[in-house]
Amino acid sequence: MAQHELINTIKVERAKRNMTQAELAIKVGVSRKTINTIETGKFTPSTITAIRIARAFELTVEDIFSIVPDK
Amino acid sequence: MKNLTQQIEDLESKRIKWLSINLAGFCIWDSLRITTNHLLDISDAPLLTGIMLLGWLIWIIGLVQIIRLSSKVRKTRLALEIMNDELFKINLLKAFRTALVTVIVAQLAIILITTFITHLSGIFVAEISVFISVTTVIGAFLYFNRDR
Repeated sequence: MAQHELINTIKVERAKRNMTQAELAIKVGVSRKTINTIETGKFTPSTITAIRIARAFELTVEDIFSIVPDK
Repeated sequence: MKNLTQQIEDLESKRIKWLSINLAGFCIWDSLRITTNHLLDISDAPLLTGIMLLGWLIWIIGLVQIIRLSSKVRKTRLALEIMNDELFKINLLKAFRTALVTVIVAQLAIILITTFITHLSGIFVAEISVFISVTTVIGAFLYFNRDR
């Protein structure tokens, strides 16, 4: 099975709303460090956290997260 | 919102600070305790005894502060949830896994030493194992939980 990289648009969506990582973290119910590691692609969130992040932006999970196959 | 985010940031940095202090205190106290109990006779070395007591004091202060911090975090449900989120739990599991592997490797080394070099007493091996497991769990957690 091919390895896939998870990419996200959290930084873009935060910028659109002028929201800091810490503010998003409180809305999602995780630490700022968790948001930072997800945003930079160092940590893959659980389904629950992914849904919570999408809800915080009033978007769907697919709007925030997508996978790209490794070349 | 700003106030709450600042509070959470403060609690997180305090947790890291007191865990580091706790680790430093435990390292000083327990390593000197094991050394003086099994390897060196320091009955007339007041400086080493003083350093050992200082390490114990630092360890106890760190422990008390961590307990105080935990009770403070438990007061707010949101703070408790945020401070114990999935990244925290994963880092904790990784730290325990690292400690388990380290202790197994240490045990193998001890078996080799007792087989080929010299006999080690059971209490010494037990104390060394406790020292390695405690320091590795806390140290690995601090490493995995560092700002990246």
